[in-house]
Amino acid sequence: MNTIPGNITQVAFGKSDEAPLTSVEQDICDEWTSGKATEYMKVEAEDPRLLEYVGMYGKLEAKQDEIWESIQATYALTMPQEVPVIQLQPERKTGKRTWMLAAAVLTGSLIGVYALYQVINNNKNTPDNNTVTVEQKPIEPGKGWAILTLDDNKQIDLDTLPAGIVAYQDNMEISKQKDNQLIYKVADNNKTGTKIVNNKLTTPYGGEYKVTLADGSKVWLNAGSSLRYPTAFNGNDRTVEISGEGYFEVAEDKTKPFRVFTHGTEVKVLGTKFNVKAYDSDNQVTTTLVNGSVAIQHGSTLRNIKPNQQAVVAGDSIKVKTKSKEEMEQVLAWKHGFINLEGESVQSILQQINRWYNVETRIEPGTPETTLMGNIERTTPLPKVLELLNTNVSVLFTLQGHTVVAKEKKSN
Amino acid sequence: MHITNDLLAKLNNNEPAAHAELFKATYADLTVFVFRMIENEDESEDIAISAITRLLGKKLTFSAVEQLKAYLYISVRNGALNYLRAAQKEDPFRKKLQEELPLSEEPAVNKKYEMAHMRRLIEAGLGKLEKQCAAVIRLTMENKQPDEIAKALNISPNQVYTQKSKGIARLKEFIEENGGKYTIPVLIILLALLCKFYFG
Repeated sequence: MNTIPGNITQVAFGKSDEAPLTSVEQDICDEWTSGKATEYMKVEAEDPRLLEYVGMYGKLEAKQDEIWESIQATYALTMPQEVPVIQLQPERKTGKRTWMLAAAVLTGSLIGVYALYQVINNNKNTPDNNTVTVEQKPIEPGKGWAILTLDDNKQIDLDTLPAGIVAYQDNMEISKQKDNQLIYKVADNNKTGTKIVNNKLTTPYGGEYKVTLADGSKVWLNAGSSLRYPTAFNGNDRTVEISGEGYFEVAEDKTKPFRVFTHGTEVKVLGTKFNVKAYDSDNQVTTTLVNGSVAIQHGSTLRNIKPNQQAVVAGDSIKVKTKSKEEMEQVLAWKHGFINLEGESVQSILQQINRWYNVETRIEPGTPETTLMGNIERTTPLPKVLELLNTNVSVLFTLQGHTVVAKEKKSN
Repeated sequence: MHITNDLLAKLNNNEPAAHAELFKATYADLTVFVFRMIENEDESEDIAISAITRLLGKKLTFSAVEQLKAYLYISVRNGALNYLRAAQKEDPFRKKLQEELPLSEEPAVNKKYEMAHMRRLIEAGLGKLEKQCAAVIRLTMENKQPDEIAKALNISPNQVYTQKSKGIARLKEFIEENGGKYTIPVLIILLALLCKFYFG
């Protein structure tokens, strides 16, 4: 049998070009290439339900003209909206480029018109707003999406998977819940194995996820992060590794300390709630404690922090600051579904947008800093976010193709 | 699924008539295939239809008929498995495969036929049955219950049972005897007809 070209499988599974196949999806492809599929498609003369199938087949053939007509009717209705989507596959190179050019030109002029409109009329204007949204359709807010990497390096895309049992790993049952979280628990009537089996949960840009580990500890992963952990904690401690940002609610177990490793820093805890932010681009590890107690170790330096304190590890030093209630809320905004603006630099706001909307960002030279207040819900479409950001006086945020650009607002 | 190279070429050219042709060549096959896995008629139709319309909407080009078939198989199989997982049911095909595994060397495979072919066989077989027997089978194929069939044909429920089992047994025999004959590709049949035309 033939091999199947990549783009065909990706479209068949309804995935984007780059998304890896899950193990189940790989199995389906193997069925085809091995020829099992052809056997499955056939029906046996001995099948007890043969007459039912043949009857159904006849019935379907009899009504297929009618069905096709109704499909065509709906299809014609949705055609105009599907135009940008259709250019995705074979003609990708030329199609996407022309489309992006058109989008950039349009966005440029639209922002001008839109700004003018805003001056004249302070009310929300729906028509223009809509045009912007439709034009930028491929850019969407992030969602509950993560890739689970099993011990044997098989990858499972949790986005397309329905709720239910995802996999078994060394007597641990891994299940996906409806609210975008993964739960590890001991499979019925089984003791956990003695092997160390590691799993990794990775959220891409534009994804966030939650996982309940074998000990009942919960971890929320922000976009562009990954967490590596054993499927069961059998040793004297509970060790996990994180990159990016995660909020931990560690189940109390005084006999087994919970240890989070990231970029050479260790956060040692017994049972507590805290946030760890350690994106590669940050060049620092920020641990913020909500309650309980944690110790931060980097090299030979060790610092304990109390609730409402934040430890920042940069270089070889650990700095501890006490945070106000408002500042604590800002740190945890992402976990509660918000993009935090308050006290954030233009750069850090753009980083949040970069990870959540999966768009490029750029700061033009000479862009001043600005003070923004409050926060924005993470479900807000990007054009609307930019509109809200542009209420500040000194920095103009625009979308050019797939890049959000910040530059100085000209006073005229 | 009978998809010709000619149809593929027309599809790659994005001819609207080819869309209808592809739909009609695959819709019943795919739907019955999904139905055999998930046993839900409406859902089966939805899964098959969305696989076909997604293909047409994306304007994919395929270099071979086998690739187009692979796309369709993968789409509906994935759709069906997602449905089974959501309903927490097992995949009957994989289960069946395990049961059959030790016998995989046996030529039992020959008794399997594509749906379109199976339908032609049954239609032909029905023509050889007695009238009443064929009527019972036809109504059974429409998913009619034995008591409904008894009423419709004005016979006793017992007669329905005997006619039905007799009919099914005859049909199986017919399939056994004629299964191979009907698999002869259309081209060869056409050649045979041409030969007859010229020399007969």
